[in-house]
Amino acid sequence: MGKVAREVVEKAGINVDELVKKLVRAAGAEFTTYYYYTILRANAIGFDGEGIKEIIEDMRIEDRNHFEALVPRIYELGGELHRDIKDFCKDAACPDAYLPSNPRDVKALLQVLIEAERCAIRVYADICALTAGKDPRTYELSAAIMNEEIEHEAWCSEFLGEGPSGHFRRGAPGESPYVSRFLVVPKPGV
Amino acid sequence: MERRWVTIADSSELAADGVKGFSVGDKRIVVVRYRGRYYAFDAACPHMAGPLDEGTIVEGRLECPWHHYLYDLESGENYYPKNVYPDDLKHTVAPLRKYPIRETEGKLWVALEDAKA
Repeated sequence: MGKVAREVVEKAGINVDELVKKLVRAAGAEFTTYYYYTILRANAIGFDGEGIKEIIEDMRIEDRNHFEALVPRIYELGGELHRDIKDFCKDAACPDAYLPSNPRDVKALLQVLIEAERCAIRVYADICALTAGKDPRTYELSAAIMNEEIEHEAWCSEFLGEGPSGHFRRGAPGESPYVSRFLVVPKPGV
Repeated sequence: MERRWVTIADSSELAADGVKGFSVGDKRIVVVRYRGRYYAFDAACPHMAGPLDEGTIVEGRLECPWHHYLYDLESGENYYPKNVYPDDLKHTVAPLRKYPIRETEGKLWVALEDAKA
């Protein structure tokens, strides 16, 4: 734990225990989403499915990156991950992103993805609102993650024909253009 | 069962499109004011008892602050994640417990006895 790191956040008027709970739930959502997106990606097959495989892979790896980026901040603030992974998953900030009943229904699959991304945006908007002007480290981290979640939503929205995302593809799978600076584990080859 | 209407607050206590919790005896009730209408529910989210009175309104739905489940204000039914859960799991998402609510002469009244799921 960073004693002073926690103290300055407390002095700024934030209930650090509540903030830590939100961060742990957010980390749980990223972790479980990484798991579920692995299943969704594996089932994105056929003429339509192959088309969305690339964005699912980017979202999947970037959500794992979000988990990795959140964990150090949880411990810095005196928090910890649940001892039991089942409790961790049950407490995730967003519901499980189950494979649809018909795994070949690509539209249903995209609906699962977009709802999960929209949930994630709300999670980080909440943390950003709580920490704005008070806890710059958590705020910047949450804002960086939210930037990527917003892009994820836009990709799904584009595939659903709701409108263009205005984005171009990542340079590499799961590049995390906003969150990579928070990652403590260097990327392979860097 | 006969309705027992109890007053819980002045309606001015609730901002437009606002969410607020009230204690009535041993019950915690969340009241939502949305587009001029009032809605009252048990404040404990049926998922994991999250505090709905600390929730927000998202596109006309009440959102739990803990796990971000969304509930329809009119029916109390879960919207998300039920809308994307596979058919065999939809039944696992319970609705909110809803209470009749009315505004009379600047006061909010909730009927507790005939609460329905």
